Amino acid sequence: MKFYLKLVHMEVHRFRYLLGGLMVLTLLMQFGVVLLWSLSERSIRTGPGWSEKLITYHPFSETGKLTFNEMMFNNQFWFSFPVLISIAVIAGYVFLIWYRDWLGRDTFIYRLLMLPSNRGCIYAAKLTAILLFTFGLVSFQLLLLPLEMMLFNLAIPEALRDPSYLSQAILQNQVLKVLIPGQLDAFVMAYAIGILTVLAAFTVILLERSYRVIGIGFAVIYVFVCGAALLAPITLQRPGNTASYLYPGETYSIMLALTVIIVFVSVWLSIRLLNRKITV
Amino acid sequence: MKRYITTLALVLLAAAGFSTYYAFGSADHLPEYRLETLEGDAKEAANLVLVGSYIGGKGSQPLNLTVHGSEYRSRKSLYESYITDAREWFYEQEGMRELIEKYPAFMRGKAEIDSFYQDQDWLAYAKIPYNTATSDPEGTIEVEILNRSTGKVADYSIALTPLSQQGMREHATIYDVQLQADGLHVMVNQYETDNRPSGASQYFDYIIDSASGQLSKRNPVEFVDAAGTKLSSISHATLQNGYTAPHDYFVFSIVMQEQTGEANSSSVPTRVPAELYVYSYKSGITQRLPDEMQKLDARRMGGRYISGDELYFTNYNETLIAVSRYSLETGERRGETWSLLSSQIGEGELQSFFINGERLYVLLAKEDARTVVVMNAATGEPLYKGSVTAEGSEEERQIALSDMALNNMSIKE
Repeated sequence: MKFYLKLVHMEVHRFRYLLGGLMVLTLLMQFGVVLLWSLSERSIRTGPGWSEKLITYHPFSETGKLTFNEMMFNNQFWFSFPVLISIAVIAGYVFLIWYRDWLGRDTFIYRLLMLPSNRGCIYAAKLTAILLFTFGLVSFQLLLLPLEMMLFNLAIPEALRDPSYLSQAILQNQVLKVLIPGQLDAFVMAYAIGILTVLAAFTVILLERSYRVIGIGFAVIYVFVCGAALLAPITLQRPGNTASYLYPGETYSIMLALTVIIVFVSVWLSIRLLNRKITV
Repeated sequence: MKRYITTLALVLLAAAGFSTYYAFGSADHLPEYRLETLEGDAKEAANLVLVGSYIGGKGSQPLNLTVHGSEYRSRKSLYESYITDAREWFYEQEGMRELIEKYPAFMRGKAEIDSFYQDQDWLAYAKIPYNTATSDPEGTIEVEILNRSTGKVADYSIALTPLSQQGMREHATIYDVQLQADGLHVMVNQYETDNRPSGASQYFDYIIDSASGQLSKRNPVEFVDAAGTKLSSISHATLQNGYTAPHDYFVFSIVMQEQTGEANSSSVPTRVPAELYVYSYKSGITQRLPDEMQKLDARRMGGRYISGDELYFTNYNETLIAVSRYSLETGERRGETWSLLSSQIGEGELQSFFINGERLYVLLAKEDARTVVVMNAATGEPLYKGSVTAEGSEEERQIALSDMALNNMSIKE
C-alpha cells in the first residue's frame, strides 16, 4: 500500500506543473471572459440611448436584467476553451504517463519494474493519478464558478442584474453540462465510461509495449472487440424502440455486465502483461 | 507528510468539489406547481396530466403537472430516462405499463397499440410480419391470445389473402383487434403499393376461430354513399380511441380521392371531405351514419370521440363547448346537446379539451390563471374543478405562474 501511495504521489509530482498550468489557464481565461463581458454589457446598459424596452425577449431572467447564466450562454467558446485544452492534455497524458517512462532520458520504467514490489501497483498508481488529475480539474472548475459569480456581481451593479444559480449556470455551457451533469447517476455514468476508456487505453499501451508492432495489431483487435461488445446491445436492441425484443432494463443490464467483463479483462490483461511479458 | 502535500491537496480538492456540489449546489431551484382542487372529487383528476413548460429566467424546461405536483423532464435520473421511461409514449397508453409488469413474456416486442385487445379474461395481439429485406408483408397474420387466468398463450398464423390476383405489390396494416362471440376479429387494410396513390385499397375483417385458430371468414368492409354508390379509392380511414378496449363497432372516417383534369393526363388527385361509416363486428354490416352526423364536420368543429357504443361530437369556440352524443347502433342522437360556457367555470378562454371514457376534460386560461374542469361527457354534470397553483410566497407564486405555459392535457394510466 505504501509503495502504491508513493507511486501515486510520484505521478502527481511529475504532473504538478502541467496541472497547475491548466488551472491557472482556466482561471485567467474564465475570469477574463467574465470581466470583459460584464464590463462591456454594463457600459451598454448604462450608456446613452439604452432602454429596457430594447429587450423584448429575455430567456435568462424574469425581468430582462443581466444574469450570470446569460454570460455563460453567450461565451461558450472562450469559457470552454481552457476546459477543452485540459481534456486534451489529460487524454494525451493517459498515453504519456506510460511512454515517458520508456522514452524519457533515463528509461525510468526499468527502475520501476526492478523494484521488489507488485507491478500491479504501478498500474494502479498511474490509473489513480489520471483520475485524480481529472477530478481535481473538474472540482477546480466547480470551485471557480462561485468565484466567477462573485466577480460578475462585483462588475455589474445590483440594479442591473438578477440572481443566478450554480446548477443553472452550468447547464448554459455545452461542455460543462457534460462534465458536471445535473443528476448524480449521470455523473457516475459519465465518469464510469471515462474510466473504462482509460483502462482500455492502458491495455492498448501495454499490448504495444509487450509485442511492439504486432502489439499494435492486437490493440486494434482489442479496441474493436470492446467497442463492438459495448455497442452491440444498444444498436441491435434499441431501448427506445417498442418493437425491440429486450426491455430497456434488460439491454442496459447486458451492457453493464459486458462493461464489468471488459473492466475485469482489461485490468487482468494489463497486469498480466506487466508481470509476464514486459521484461527488463 | 509535508512532502505529500500536493497529492493530499489534490485528493481533498477532488473529493470536496464533487461531494459539495451534489450535496448542496445541484438543486435547480425551479418552481413547484400543482393542480389544486377547488370543487368536487380530486379522484376525477388523479390521472390527468397538464403538459407544458417552465419558460422563466432559468431556461425552458418541459414539465408535467398533476394534482400531485410538477415533474420536470430535466430532473429525471438516467435510470428513469433510459430504463423506466425509455418507451414512455407507449407505456402510458391504455395500461401498457401495467400489462408489461404483469405479462412481460407476452408483451415482449409488441409495439402497435391498435393491434392489442384486452378484457378481463383475454389479452390478444395480432401482427403482420414483414420481410426485412424487401419490406413486403410475408402473407400471414400472426395472432397470440393470452388467457389471463391460466396464463396460457395460444398462437395462430392465418394466411393473408391477396387484395388482387394480378401480382401487384401490396401492403397491409392492422387497425383494430376485437374478441367477439364468433371469434377474434382483425381489421386489416390492404392496399396496392405499385400504383399509388390511386391503387386499390380495401378493409377486411378477418374473423378467426379462437378455439381452432382457423380463419372463419374474411368480411370485406364496403362503403356505400347516400346515393347508393359503392365507394372506392379510399385514401384515409382512421377514427378510433380506446384502441385496446372491447367494443362492438369500428368507426371509419373516410376521405375519397377524386381525379381532377383530363382522364389521361397526369392529374393530381384531390381529396373530398370525410364521411362517417360504422362497421358492426356483430353483424358484419357497414352503415353510413345519418346525415345529421355527417354535417358535424370535425375539421371545422373540434374532436370526435368514441366511448363504448356512443360517438361524441364536440363543437367549440373560445368561450363555449357543445357536446352531442349519438348511438352507433342506431345512429340516433342520445340525450340533448349540452353546452358549457367558459364564464360558467370562471374567467378565461378555452385552451384545450378532450373526452376520455365518459369524461370531458377542459382547460381554461386567462393570463396567469389556469382552471381545469372535469365533467360527465354525457350529461354535462360538473365533477371536478381545480386551478394551477405554485409554491412559495404570494410574490413568488405570481412570478412562477407567469413563467409557465400549458399547451395540452392527457391521461396517464
